[in-house]
Amino acid sequence: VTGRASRLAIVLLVLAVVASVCSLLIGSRWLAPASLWSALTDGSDPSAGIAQARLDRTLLAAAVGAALALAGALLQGVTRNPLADPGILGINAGASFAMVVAMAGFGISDLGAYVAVAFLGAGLALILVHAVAAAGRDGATPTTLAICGAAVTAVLASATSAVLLLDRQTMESFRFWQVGTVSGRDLSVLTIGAPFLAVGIVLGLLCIRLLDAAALGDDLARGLGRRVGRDRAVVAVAVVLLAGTATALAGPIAFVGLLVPHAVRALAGPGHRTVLPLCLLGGAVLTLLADTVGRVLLPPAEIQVGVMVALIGGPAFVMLVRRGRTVAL
Amino acid sequence: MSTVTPTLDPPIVAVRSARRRVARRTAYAITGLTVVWIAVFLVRITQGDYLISLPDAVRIIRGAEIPGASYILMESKLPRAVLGTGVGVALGLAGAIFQTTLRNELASPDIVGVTLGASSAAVFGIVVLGQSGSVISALAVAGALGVALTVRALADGHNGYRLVLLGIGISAVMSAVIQYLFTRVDEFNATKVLQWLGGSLSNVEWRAIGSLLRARRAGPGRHRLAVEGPAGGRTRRRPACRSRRGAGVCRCPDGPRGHPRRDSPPPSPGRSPSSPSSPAPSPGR
Repeated sequence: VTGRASRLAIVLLVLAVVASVCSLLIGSRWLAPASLWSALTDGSDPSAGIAQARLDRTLLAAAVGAALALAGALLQGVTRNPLADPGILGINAGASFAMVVAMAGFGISDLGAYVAVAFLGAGLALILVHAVAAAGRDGATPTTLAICGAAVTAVLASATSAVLLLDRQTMESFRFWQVGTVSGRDLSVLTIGAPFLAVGIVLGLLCIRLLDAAALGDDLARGLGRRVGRDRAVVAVAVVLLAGTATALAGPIAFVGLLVPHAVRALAGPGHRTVLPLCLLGGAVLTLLADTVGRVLLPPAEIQVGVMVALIGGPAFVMLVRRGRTVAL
Repeated sequence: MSTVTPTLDPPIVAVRSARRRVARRTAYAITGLTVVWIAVFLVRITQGDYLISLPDAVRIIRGAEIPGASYILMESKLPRAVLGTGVGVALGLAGAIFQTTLRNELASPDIVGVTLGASSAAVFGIVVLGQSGSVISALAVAGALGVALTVRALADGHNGYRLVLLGIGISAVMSAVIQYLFTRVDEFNATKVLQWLGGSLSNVEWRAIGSLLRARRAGPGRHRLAVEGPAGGRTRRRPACRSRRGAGVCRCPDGPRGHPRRDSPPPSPGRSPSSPSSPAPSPGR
C-alpha cells in the first residue's frame, strides 16, 4: 500500500465519519449533537422518531453507496472498460423491468418482495448480457459487453415504459421508486438485504488478485494460471449481489459505480488491493453527502439521493475527466 | 472482416478478388435491406386496425378517392410509415457519423448524452412550462444542441474515451433532472411525459416530416467529408454537429427511440455507390 493510498484511506475514513454525523444531525429539523445521543438511546425522547429515521437512512445510504461503488470497480476491472457501470451493463434496467412486471402483473407492493424481485431481474439481465456478448465471434470482450449491455438496457427500458403506459397505477408507484431514495425505508429492509451485501462485499474483496491478473489481458492472465472464464463468473456473481441488492433497497442510483472507482484510481493508482477497499469508503461518503445535501437544498421538499448523486457527481466527474486524471485500465 | 488467404495467387489477383468480395457483400446488403424496407413499409400502410388492400393503396396514392380508406391512408398510415423511415434513417446516420468521426464504437447519440439532453429539455417544457406541441419540439432540439456543444467544448478536441466519458457524465446529470421532474409532476402530465419518453409515431402530421427532412438534408454529403477528411480539425467538427442536429430533430416529433442507430452498422466507406473516390480497402482486407 503506497503512501498516497493510505493517506486517501485516512481522509476517506474521516470524511465517512463526518458525513454520517452530518446525516444524523442535519435535516428539515436540526438535531443538536448533545440531544442526539439521548434521542437515539432513550425511546421516550421527543426526537427519538427523527433520530431513528435518520439512523436508518444513514445506514442504508452508506451500505448502498459502498455496494454500488464496489460493484462498479469490479465491473470496470473485469471488463477492462472504463465505461462499465452497473447501469450500463443492464443491471438497473433489469431490476426496473422486474419491478414493473411484479407490480403490474402480480400486484406485489411489499418492500421485502421488491428486494427479491429486483435482485432476480438484475441477475437475469446480467446473465442475458453476458450470454449475448459471449455468442459473438470473439467472445465476451469488454466492448461487446458494453454494447450488448446498452442494447439490453434499451430493450428492457422500452418494455418497462410499455408496461407503465398501459398500467397507470403501477406508473404511480414506479415513478417514485425509479429516482432512487433511501428515505422511508426502515431497518427491517436493510436487514433483509444485509446478508446479500455482506456476501457480495466479501466475494468482491476476494477478487483482488484475479482482477489484477485480468488487468494484464486475457492471455497473460491465462499465462499466470488464471482460469479466465471462471474468474469472470465469480466477479459477475459478486456484482449481481452488490448492485442487485443495492438497487432493490434504494432504487436505481446511477453514477456512484462509475464516479467513485475513477476518482479512487486517479488518486491512489490502479492496483485493486487499494482500489476496492477505498471504493467501499468512497461510495459510502458520496451517497451520504448526496443524501444529506438533498435534504436541505429545497427546504420543505427533499431531493432524492439518486438525483443528488448525479448532480454532485456529474460536475466532479467532468472535472476529473478534463484534468486527464482518469487512469486507463 | 473476411480473412483473405490467397496462398498461391499473385498479389494483383488477391487484391482484385478481395475488392470484389467487398463490393459483392455491399450489393447484397443494400439489396436485402431495400427489399426488407419496402416489405415493411407496405405492411405498415396496408395492415393494422383498418385493412387496406395493396391495389387500393396504390390507387389512393396515385390520386383516387376511396371514402374512408383515403383519409386513413393519407393522414394516418402513410405519414407514420414515412416518418418512421425518416427517423430511422436519421438516427442510423447520426450513429454512423458518430462512430466513424469519433473512432469509437460505443459512441452513439444516447451514450454521449444528446438524447437525454433533448429528453430533459422536453420534459422540462412539459412539466415546468406546461407547454405542448411544437414548443416541445423546439425545446428538444435546443436541448440536444446544448448538450452536444457542451460535451464538445468540455472535451477540448479529445474525441476518444474522454468525449464518451464526459458524455456519460452529462447524461447522468440530465437523467437525474428527468427523474426528479418525473416525481414532481401530476398524474396526467406524468402519462404525457412517459409517452414522449417512450417514443411514438402516433398523431404525426406532415408538417413534422418536413422539419425532419430539412434538418437532415446535408447529412450524407458531409458524412463522406468526415470519412475522408484529415484526422483532426474543422472537417470533423461540422459533421458531428450535423449528426447531433439530426438526432435532436427526429426526437422532437415523436420522442426518443432506443436502438435503431446501434443496430445499423456504420457504412463502410466503399459502400456508398456515389463515391468511387472513397479510400481503398484497408490492407487487412
